[in-house]
Amino acid sequence: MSTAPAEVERPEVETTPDRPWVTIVWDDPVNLMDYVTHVFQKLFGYPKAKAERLMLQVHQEGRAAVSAGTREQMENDVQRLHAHGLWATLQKDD
Amino acid sequence: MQLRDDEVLIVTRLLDEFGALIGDEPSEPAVDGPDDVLAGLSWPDADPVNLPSDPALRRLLPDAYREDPDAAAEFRRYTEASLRDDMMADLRAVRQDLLVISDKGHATLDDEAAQAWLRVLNRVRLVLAVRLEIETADDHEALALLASLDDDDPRVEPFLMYEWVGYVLGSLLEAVM
Repeated sequence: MSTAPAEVERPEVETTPDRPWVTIVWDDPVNLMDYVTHVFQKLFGYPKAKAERLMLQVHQEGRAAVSAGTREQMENDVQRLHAHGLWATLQKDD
Repeated sequence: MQLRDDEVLIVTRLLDEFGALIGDEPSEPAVDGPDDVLAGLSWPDADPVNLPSDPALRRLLPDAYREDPDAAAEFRRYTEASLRDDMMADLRAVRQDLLVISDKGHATLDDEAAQAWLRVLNRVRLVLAVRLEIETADDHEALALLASLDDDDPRVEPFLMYEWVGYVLGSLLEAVM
């Protein structure tokens, strides 16, 4: 059986110099995985596959960056995520 | 959305307790009634700048900045009232649907209504989890075992509700996803 060549994974969400802030979603043991996926689709318009990857990243790594932008944009995203019962914070990516 | 009469009663009660949790602050701490599954150490916080003292509210209204308490306080000052308003609006919408369901046995939910149900069911489930102190998968397992063995433990009833709300939430997600 041959193994596939190692691939460098592109992060799902990337900052740019003019959009240096990120929204982080943190894992919690209570939220249903389907619910988290659904929220990512609804709030960010992500296709289901991307929403699922982000949800799994939160679940397996404890956290995931789910969006990037200006500080104001990220505060808005955090507020919307809190309104959906997810635990989110924003920070400046460095 | 289809619920039996007894299920309507359960949801109504959970919503009433949730409403008390996020509603107008009483002048004294809420008294913990014997049937109150969502109450606990619940005394609504009048302070719009600091983290709520009630762990359930803390879970629903967490800090937005991990390492910057000033920024977190500022964010809270500007957003907490509106977040609570959103929760109240969702609660009202779901209560309207419940009226229809208790009358006809079911209600047809458009997307907006379904999303409100998802948020409300999820919030109620989060509060139950905080009250039950479910922090890990092991905590959940321990409660499931308790529920199968011991009918008298006061955690059994809220745990069964927690499971049931999760089931309703899961079914609704399946329908909308």
